[in-house]
Amino acid sequence: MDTLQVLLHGFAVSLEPARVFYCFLGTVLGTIVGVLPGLGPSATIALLLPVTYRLDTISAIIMLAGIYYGSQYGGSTTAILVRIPGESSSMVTCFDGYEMTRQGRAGPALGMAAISSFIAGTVAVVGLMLVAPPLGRFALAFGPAEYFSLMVLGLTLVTHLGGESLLKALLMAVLGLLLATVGQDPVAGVERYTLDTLALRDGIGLVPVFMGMFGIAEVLATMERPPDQQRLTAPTGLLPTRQDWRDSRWPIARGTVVGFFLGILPGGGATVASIASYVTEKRFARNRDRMGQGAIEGVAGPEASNNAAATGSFIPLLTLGIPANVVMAMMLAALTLHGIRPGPLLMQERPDLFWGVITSMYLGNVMLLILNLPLVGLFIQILRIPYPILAPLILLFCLVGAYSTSGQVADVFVMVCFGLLGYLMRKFKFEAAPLILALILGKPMEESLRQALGISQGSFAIFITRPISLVLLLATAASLVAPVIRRALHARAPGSP
Amino acid sequence: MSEWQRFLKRPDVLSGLTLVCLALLAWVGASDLPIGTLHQPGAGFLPRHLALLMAVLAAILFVGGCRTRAASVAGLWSDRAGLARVGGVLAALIGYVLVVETAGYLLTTAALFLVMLHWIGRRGWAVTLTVALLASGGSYLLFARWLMVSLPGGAWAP
Repeated sequence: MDTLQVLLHGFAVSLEPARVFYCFLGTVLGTIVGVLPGLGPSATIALLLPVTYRLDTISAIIMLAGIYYGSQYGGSTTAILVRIPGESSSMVTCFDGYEMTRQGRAGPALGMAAISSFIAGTVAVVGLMLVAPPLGRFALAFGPAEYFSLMVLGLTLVTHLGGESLLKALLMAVLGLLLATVGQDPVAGVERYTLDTLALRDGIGLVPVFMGMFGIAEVLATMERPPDQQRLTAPTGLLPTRQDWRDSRWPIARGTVVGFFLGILPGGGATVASIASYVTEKRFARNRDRMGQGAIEGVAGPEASNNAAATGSFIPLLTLGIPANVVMAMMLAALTLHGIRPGPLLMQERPDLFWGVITSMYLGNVMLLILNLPLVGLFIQILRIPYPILAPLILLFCLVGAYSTSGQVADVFVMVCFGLLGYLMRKFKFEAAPLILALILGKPMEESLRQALGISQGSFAIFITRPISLVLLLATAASLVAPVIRRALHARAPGSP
Repeated sequence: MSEWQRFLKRPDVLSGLTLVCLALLAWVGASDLPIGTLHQPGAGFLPRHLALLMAVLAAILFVGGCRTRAASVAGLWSDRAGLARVGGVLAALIGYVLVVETAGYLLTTAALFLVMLHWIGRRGWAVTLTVALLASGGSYLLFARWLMVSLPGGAWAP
């Protein structure tokens, strides 16, 4: 069958009324869990797994997929309005999205987040259709050495996020890696820095850290200001302007490409993709000097990227049977529950399932756009609430979010500690992003390092003898050296101080 | 205030010193862990190397802070009333953490709103009580009843 035929076949499957309904249900649920901190798509899919057993396989997978990419839409809402990332992949959206809110531009920020998510999600589905099998095989070429080098590159790139001090960013990245070692060692199971407490045995939870460093720290910083300066600027305009569109075109395109490719790599996922997109925009965006101060590129790029990554992560699952992240592992469980074994033969053996799920993503993205754009007007009404009333509501959101991840008060305590840390870091001009990314990447990075050294009998040469790893390390070196060279050239330029 | 005290209150000096101390603590905490070999790195391999790297970077920050003249950290908190509000929010959060398992979600959340709205936010009793009741009750319905999130019921919960 050629592409057009399989596409039509896919639409015939996904447009059946019951499946349209489950697609809608999945996207609505996804948007809700995306908005609510602490309730991630993986927890929601896990909760719904037994329920899907009663559904037909295609409807079940369509609904679960909708939850995943729908959560990428919803996660940006709280990030933009109150600086709490609903999902870890919306973390970087806080930087410029919230600044836009403070400038009275919450409407365009929310609108652009929905539109860029829609464009990227739709383009990524086309990519999924056209290049799924060869890209899936490329992902297999990544061994421990390549993953380690990729994560080193990711961490190096993120140190450029802050801009002001590379030293402080590096310090925060190292602190994040150290915090990631808390809990059981991933290879031998030895306990590290747990203070003999059960709560720290599984390590420091990511959700409490996000809630603390963004939500709580923001409330503390705002409450410090005199009451007449606490109020957020009244929103003007609901949708992006023509200039916003002009500024966002290329960030959306770049974010889609970056997100799609990073999404297919196991361990990559939407969070790393959104950070990579933000770093890319800091380099290439037309208004790169305004990044972090309310530039729409800082919303458009990462939001496009996390949606493209969410779609891209289906490639290794559907074509190789390998889950790229925790949510995909849940999807694998759902497929297995229904007696389906995803892999290279899925496309031939169950074309109805393969193409039905893929085409449902087109529908889902359209539904999400229709669902999210009218909600912009509703969401920005939140900003009209006086801050002394809004502040405890934000705290409540954070408290429930942190508690719901494990059901332990210890996680709430961790969140408060990180809230104080985040507040102090702002005062002392340390960036939160390098610490958080290092915390996310720390465990898989250590695992990859130790596995790679095990394979190479302790030789670090493995990182430079494998071509992909070498390229990644060269890119890392270039990203560290380039700012130094640029500064030196700038200093030599005539007329520079 | 002596010259030495003023020197220690420069932001980069203070943060550099704090991070050096933290790195030393991390090193000591990892000292009992097996470091392993390059062929088979142990549980202490990464923590110790990271602690060392952090100590070096923090020392560079400290030295840099010593060389540049900067205002005291006291300047970062010039507004006493603002600092009191921050302290109040932190105290309310810590109180929440300490009490929530015993007093339960509903009661503790209502108390948090009372503190935040009346004492920190300077709102009248009518607004405070209305918002506190609506927020604690509404959020309980949303999270515990509809979304089935397990919330602390308190010492008297069955």
